[in-house]
Amino acid sequence: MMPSLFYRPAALLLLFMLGLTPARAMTLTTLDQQLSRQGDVSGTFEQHRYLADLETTIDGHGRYAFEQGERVRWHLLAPVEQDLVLGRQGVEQGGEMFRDDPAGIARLILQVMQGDLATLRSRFKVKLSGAPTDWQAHLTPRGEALGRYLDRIELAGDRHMRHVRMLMHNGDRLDIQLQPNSTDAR
Amino acid sequence: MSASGRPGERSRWLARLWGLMLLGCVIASTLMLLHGARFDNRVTALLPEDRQRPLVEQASAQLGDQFEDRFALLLQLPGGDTDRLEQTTRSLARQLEQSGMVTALHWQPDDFRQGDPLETLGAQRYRLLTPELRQQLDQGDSAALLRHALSGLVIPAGLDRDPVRDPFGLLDAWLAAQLPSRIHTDHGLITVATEDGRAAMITGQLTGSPYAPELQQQLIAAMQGFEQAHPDATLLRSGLVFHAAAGARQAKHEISTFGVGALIGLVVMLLLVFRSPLTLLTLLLPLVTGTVLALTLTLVFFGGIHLLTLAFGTSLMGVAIDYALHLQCARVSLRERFRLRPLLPGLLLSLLSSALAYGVQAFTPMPGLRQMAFFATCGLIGAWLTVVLWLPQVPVGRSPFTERIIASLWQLLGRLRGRLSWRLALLLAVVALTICAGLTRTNDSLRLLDTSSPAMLDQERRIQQLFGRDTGTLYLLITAADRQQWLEQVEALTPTLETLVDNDHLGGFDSLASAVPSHARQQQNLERVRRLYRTTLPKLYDRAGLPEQLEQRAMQPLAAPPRLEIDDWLGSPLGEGDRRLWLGNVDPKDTRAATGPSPVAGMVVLSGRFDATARARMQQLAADHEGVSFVDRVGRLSAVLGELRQQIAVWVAMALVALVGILTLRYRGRTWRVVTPAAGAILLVLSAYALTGVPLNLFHQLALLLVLGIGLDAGIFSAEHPDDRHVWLAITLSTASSLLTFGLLAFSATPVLHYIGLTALIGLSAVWLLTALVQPAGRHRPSRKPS
Repeated sequence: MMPSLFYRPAALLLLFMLGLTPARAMTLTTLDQQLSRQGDVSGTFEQHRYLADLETTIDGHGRYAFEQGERVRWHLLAPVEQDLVLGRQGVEQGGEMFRDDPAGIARLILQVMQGDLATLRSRFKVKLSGAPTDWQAHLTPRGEALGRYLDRIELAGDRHMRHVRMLMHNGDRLDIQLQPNSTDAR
Repeated sequence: MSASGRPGERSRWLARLWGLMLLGCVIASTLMLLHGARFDNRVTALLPEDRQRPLVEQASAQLGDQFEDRFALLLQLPGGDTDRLEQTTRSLARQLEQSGMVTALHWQPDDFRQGDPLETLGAQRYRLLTPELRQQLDQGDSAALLRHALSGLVIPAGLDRDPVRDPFGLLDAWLAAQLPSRIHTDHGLITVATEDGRAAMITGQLTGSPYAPELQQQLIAAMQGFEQAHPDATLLRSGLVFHAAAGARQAKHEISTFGVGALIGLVVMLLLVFRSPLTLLTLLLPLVTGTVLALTLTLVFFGGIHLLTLAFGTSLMGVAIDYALHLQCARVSLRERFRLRPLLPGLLLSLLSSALAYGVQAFTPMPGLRQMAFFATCGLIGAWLTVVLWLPQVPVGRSPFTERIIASLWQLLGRLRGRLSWRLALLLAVVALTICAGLTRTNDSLRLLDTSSPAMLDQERRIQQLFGRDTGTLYLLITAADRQQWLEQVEALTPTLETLVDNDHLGGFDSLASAVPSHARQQQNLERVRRLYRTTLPKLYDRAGLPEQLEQRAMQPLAAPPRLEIDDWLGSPLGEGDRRLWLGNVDPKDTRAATGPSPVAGMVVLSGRFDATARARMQQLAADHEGVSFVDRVGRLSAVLGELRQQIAVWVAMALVALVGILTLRYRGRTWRVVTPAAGAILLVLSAYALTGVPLNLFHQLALLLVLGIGLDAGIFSAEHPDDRHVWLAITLSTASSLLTFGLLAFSATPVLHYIGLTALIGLSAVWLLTALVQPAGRHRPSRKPS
């Protein structure tokens, strides 16, 4: 009775890119606590989208900002200038709202930003490894529908999140390098 | 016929014959009910056949019944704590699951597993353009399109945002337009924006029928348990099961208070008067045999029976208790001096008057009324025959107590009689008629049949409003020769509907054409997309740093993409919500327009706001376009009730005129005394309603028919036997027993029963009082004298 479910894997990824601070001891619980204490984080990113089918890469870069636990602003500078804002009201692209998907990916992102991993855990199997200064997280979808598009997500960082990689089911890959501003590096 | 209790040979023979006939009726009706005779409950089945619209019935049933076993809940908490809302929703979902009465509970975003949109729309996407995108392309605004496309390639924020397969994100745009705009996802919940913040939404399906008592109890218990544990939570419910449960609870409550109360009251009263269980049974027996005869004959002549016929027919037959009461009162009072013959003219006239008042409706053009009239008349005749043929053969109990009651009632009558002269009666009648003519209002709203409380209906309305989806009480029914003509017709209507929505005359509409464009429109869309690719794709690839050779590959799917067909869309999980809008191939006989050998039909459902302008436009659309009709389900059914009410009023009035003629032949100058109890009571009820502003409806009127029958009986018997004290006992018992069975309904919370009850309460009390008041003064003798 409800309309379509369609995932926005890239939107999901925004979340990981933005200021996941590394936990002191690598358990989900402590990471949870760590994340829930986050303030504003901002910085620059660089990204490479690898298209397996075409054996080619699309590159881009821009700025990101996480504002007061309310909004995530994703500002692409090249190859085109475009804003993508995830807020409580939904997802805004180029100043226009677009309809929130029932899969709720945009909202999910905000939740993780705020350190609520409970929902993420209900949709992904999360495996953590490494030390607080050099950690990795592997997320694999639990649901079959999501699994048809997305193989896994890999996150890595030190005190901050540094690298997000999404591996799509069709062999495509999205790599994002994050460089938080030094003023936010608390 | 010999003296009481010793019937003659001929009457014994007739009684046996009647018994055999009844036995035959029982066998015949049982066989018919076992072999396909059906109980009908469609209100429109009461309409003349040429005005029934099979296709409208089919459409209404599909829009209404599909959601019978579904329900939706909205949960809201004070303050905006989303975490707490999530926990609370989780615990509600757990309690619902533990009840074991629900399946397919949806409350988390991840639960919408709707299959892969690529399978249904992947290849067809180049033929699908949202109105906004069409407009953008027509205006040649390629800069904005290019920017969106580029950022979409870098950040693939959507489904299959592939530079070759879908560089411009056509599929994403199309899918987004199919989503309901009011539903969001938030903190692991599906939420709806309400006036007081966000509410969590839970939808589910029942494991069984919404009418199953066990299911209702378990589900309601689970929800009550939740509400007790979370007193600050607001829970809005939508779904037939909640209305059915409330209705069942109310009916149970009312049956246990009014029903049992009335039955006990009736039994106690009759036992007190007659002091004999056997006599009590003989009073009720005619009602049973009358029903058996009426049911059998109705099944034979109509092939089935409408449930309303059964309900109202048996109520109208309540008059039949009069015959038994008059006979038994006479036997108890007169003992050995009882003879049937002197009683027969009264009994016959009484049967004749009621049968005429009810039976005349068999000549109305309304099949529902015809059936009701036939049923009631047959029932009366069956009861009458039982009274005349069987009851004299059954010994009757005798108690000195009965004598005492007869004596004190006679005394009471002595104080009341002669107080109403014909001049005063005439004056009062003129006054009452003036009041009625000036002030009577009517209301045939279908809401009368609703057993749900206003609060529950309000919840239902609010949820449907928030979901932007209606149960389909207002819709356009469209028929066409084939699928493409159907879609083109709907596309032609769409601008009108959109204008109404834009100007706030209409809340919204649900149309299959917005999910599946016609072939013509799909072709236009494809041409636009080809133009977009030719003009903008090279720039896009250049800016994204992609090789030029890819253009050829990207253009390939545009060469001859498959079309999206109605049946493919409806067959996919994505199109599930639209299935209710499509009837598919229908019987050519049922379509009004000449639509060829295999016509199709479907609906455009109107929802939310609907004002007079919107109504006028819809009626205009239906008038202007062949194959388009505007259906207002509630209005349509209300019109049926109104028509029934008017037909009853007209025909009963005509029957009354005829009856006064017949009665004048026998009673001459006394006729006014015979007619006044019935006519006066009806006028009194009508004036009371007119003065207090209660609008008249069909159910008031059906109760007035009962008042009419009992009132005429009282008038006839008191005129036939003016000096017989037992007649006055019978009249008193008759009004009292009907008051007990019907008058108590005045206190029912179900609107229909309340109206019937209130009318019976006022009307029957008036019958009794008026019968006493119009009796001639000075004829009162304390001693008993057999007639």
